[in-house]
Amino acid sequence: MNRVNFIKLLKPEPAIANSICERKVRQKSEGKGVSGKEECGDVAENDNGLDGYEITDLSRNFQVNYQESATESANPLQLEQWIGNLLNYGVILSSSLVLVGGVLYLIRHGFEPVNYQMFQGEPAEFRSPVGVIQGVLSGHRRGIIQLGLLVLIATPILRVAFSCMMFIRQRDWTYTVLTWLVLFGLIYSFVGAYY
Amino acid sequence: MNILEFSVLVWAGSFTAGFLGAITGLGGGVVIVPFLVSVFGVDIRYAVGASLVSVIATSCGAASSYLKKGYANLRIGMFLEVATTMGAIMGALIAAYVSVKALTLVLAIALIYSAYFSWQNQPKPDTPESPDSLATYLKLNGTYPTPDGLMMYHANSIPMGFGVMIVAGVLSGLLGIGSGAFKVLAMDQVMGLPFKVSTTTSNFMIGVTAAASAGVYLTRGYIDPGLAMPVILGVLPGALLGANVLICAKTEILRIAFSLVLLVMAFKMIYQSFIGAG
Repeated sequence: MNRVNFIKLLKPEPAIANSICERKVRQKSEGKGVSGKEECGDVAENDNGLDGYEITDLSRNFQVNYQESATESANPLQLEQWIGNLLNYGVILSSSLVLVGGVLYLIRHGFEPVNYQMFQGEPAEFRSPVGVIQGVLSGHRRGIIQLGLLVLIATPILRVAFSCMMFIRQRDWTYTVLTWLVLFGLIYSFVGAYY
Repeated sequence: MNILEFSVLVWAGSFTAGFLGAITGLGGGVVIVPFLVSVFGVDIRYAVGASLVSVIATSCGAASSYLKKGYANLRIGMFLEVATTMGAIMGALIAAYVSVKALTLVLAIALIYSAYFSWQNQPKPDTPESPDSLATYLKLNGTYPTPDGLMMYHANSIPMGFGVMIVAGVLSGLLGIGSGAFKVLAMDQVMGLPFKVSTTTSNFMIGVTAAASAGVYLTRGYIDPGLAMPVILGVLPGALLGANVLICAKTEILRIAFSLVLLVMAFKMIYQSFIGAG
């Protein structure tokens, strides 16, 4: 691979160098939308670009940090880390709420008979975010579970809103519009269903 | 059976479903609905509501680890989510006007397809084509980690993939499943993405797709906290365990076993709603 060869001139370790190049290709092509191989040649020419990269954790995942300059947008990989964390926290929060609510619910109602054969629909207080919050405030145990479920549903919606902000910061207008479309659909599904 | 026993049994079943769903890349939802309907006799609308929220939990839980490892492609996910959210809202709105029998039949067909999907899993012709111009414009090409270092990949047939994603979204909204099999079909077979990128990106997208129909289901009163609680608390740890095994495990035997389970459930549901007493 010529990609590896030219990079060998710059750095002695081919495995590491290769990963730097690949990551660079990815970032470049995400930034400008040009194909990988052309970019690689491009990188070889201005090798001072490599100074911006710092290898933090070689043993795991070949993660390469990109030193942001003040004007430049956030690193896509970093974006993926943030979104990953957001999803994690959302799930942890909601499942703890569901767990607490569930234990309280089973203590109170555990020995009552099950009835899910007949569909009746949930009472009004479990059908809307406002109703759920009122239910929790008035001390309903199942309301706590339902609140956990709402947090869970909100997590991917927040993720989309968050990616939208990131795309605006990256001045990637195509993706800003696409993300808005998704966000609009999600908001519609909550608001539109009332009418 | 009282609520405590019911919850414990549903919890155990959901844990298994989540584990197998994550390993095979189909998601737990596709098993949860038939499991609740055919084993516990739960009304399909409650089952769909519970499955839908559990699908969001699985997706968010597993997606964060795939994203950090660099398998899932954020942009491909974002772009195709436009199709799946539109489809999901349509599906959820249609669901109110579809009879329970028709719903059961569609679910059975989706199950049989999923079984077929996980059964075959044929390697696709690996053609390193020149990148599609639309894919380049949308920056859908990327890299993913393999044992030999990062590998590049290109996306092809974008409009076709987008179309299949709308169908996947409708099914997800209609049936409360993640419809991972259809999403993977769109990315792996139609768009020519690597299998691991397809399954992980599909997983990542499922949360948003499901959230789109969850709003509609919530206002209709399909989401019951008492039923959703054991389902979520079971599926989530099961799926997290499965996602960690996925990276290294040989999954052939599980795949076959899982597709057999899906087939049995599909036929049981058809039998119950068309021939049986119900």
